[in-house]
Amino acid sequence: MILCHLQNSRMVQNSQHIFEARLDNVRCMSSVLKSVAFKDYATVFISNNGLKVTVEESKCAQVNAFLQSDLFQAYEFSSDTLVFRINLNVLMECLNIFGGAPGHSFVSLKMYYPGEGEPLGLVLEEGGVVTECQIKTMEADEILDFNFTSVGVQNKIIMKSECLRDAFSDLDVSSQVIEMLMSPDAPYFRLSTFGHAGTTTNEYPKDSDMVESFECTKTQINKYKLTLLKPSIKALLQSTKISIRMDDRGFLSLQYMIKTEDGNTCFVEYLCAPDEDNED
Amino acid sequence: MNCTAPGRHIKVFGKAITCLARVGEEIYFEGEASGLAVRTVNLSRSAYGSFLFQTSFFSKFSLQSQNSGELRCKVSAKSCLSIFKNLASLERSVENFSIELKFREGELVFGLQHRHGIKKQFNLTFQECEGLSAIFNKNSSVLHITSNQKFLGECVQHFPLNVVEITLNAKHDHTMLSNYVEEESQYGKVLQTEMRLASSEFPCYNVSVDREVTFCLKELRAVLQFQDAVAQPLHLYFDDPGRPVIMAIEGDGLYECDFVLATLTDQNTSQYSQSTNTSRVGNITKTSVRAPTNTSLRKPPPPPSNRQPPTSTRHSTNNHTTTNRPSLDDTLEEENPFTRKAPPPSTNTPQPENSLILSPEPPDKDSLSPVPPSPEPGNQNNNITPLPSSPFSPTPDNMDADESIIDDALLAALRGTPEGPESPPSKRFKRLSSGDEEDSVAINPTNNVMYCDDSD
Repeated sequence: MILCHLQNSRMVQNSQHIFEARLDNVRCMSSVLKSVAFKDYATVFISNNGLKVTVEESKCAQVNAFLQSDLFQAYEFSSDTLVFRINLNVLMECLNIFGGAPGHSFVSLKMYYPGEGEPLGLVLEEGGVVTECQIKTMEADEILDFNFTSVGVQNKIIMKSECLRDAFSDLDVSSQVIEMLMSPDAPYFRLSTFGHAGTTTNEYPKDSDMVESFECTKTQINKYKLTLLKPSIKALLQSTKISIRMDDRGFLSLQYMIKTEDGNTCFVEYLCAPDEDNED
Repeated sequence: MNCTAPGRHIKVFGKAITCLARVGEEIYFEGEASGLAVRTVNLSRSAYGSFLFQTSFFSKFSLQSQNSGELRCKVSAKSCLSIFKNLASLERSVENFSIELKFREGELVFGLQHRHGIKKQFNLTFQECEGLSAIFNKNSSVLHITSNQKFLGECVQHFPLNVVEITLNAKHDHTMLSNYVEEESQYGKVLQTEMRLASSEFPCYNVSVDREVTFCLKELRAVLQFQDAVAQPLHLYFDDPGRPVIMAIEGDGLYECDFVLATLTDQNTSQYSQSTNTSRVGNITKTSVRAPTNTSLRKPPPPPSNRQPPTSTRHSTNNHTTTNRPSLDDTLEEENPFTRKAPPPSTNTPQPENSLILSPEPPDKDSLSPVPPSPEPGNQNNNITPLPSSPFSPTPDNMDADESIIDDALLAALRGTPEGPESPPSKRFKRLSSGDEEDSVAINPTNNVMYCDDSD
């Protein structure tokens, strides 16, 4: 079904492609995609604004990585929005085909998509060595619409990711859920887990140096499945800032600001439905 | 109990917890007038570790209860460890931390106040417990060696990780450190590592008589790791084989660390043994009193290869006295068809005078007080001559003549009465006998009962 087709040193004529983009440092793209690569398949949206890569988990959580068009050194797109499904692992493997570790010389990338039904083409070059990959694409399934609008947002906190990293990387894995409290009053923002050994809580006051913006209007306590929230840790580790929002239905939106190596800013958004079962 | 300590102390505290967690599976917290005691004992009860954090360690310390039962609890080492998992980052970010025992709520609460106002709280559910304290006396040990902060740790690093026991052979001018190799180990499969450490390497080297003790490396490694972190000298006190090795670290008046490890009673080491009746009981010694190892580490015993036929009893005068390494399990005579069958009934008699006593109800100063001399030796094993007195107060008669008899008697003491249901199987190995066994089961049944506090 999926074919990773590698050919060396064959440049492709690209005049008639619907989509074509060039990137000087492929790690800008692969590092962002890494933070969403927790499932095999992703849905890719291509528009004039850039690329959106969406991964879903259990119909309850969704992660979107946004690669804006200005992240790329050249970006050409001549169509309405294009959608296809792709094996994310294969895509990541191809992007890292020269080795993904930092410290190497830059690997540049040319990416093109001739049109619907065609494979996605990647041409990677490092120091004169060129690899061309073609990854078969699939028709996209419908993806979830969380209908998370800024109108419904009750509570919003923007803080530095640094202080959440510890909390999330040391989560008590024996706990089923993570409880989030957001409130205009003390304790303002609290994360709790309920494991075999006992409960663990992390509290963040609103006047902390780590909190950049605190807009909470209503006390909300919601629980989210830990397994669903786990994939967001990858993004958290790479990000510099995080925006935590909760809407009136208890849906959670986490937006991560990720600085790429060449100084651009990318965003990864994580959406999760609350865990209803455990609400007594 | 509620105590708060400044953030700069979290490293020591965290390392102490890490150290204890490497020894035992449960950690006992106990508030005392002098400070907070954190202790553990391993499953086979052959190793005991204790940290006493003095009140000066804390910026705030209050007991808040007169009832000592409400001042102590035990929690699983694992859950405790998870708090201090990321110690390096805690060191940087924690401003102060608190430990509060909410007895009525059934929670032991660790509060970590980070920079930027971030607060972390760990509410651990605990089990009520009896107090835990080993009775030992450093001063009764004949030999005393002090190691510089890194010295012993570096020496031990040379031993492969799979080495279980280590032998410390102290002579007047040097000490040999070697891994303990069973006599029956197959040739070509054993690596013997030996290190000769000159006495001048030790700041304090008080070895008046030559002694050789063998004890578990695992616990020693745990202590050395702690020592490495706090950079304090380590004091080693030891004596005859079979008597515990005591390791102590003193932390600038802020805390005290004591570890007590059982040592191997060994034919090799008991060179004072006499031949005739020794060869008789000596065999028992070997098959019964063996390494004070945490048995959970052990493989199940392989089919005994070199062993006596089932009919051969303790009277076998065969020279081969050591057993295969995994046959530590020989202590479980009932389960090994190749060793003698039913042990004499009286071997079940507890004789705790001969062992470290983990007293269930420690009076204040107990932990450092010497064991009371044994008033009566208890029922004797038919084949065993009367017991010598406590190994903590060496007398000439347990030095020579009947070293191995002592061992057997010690074994008898250690074997104890058939355990209550809570005893892990490994408890039947040689171990520091639990104080529980002092009390006859009927007298104090609650001693053996552990229950979860459901906080009413």
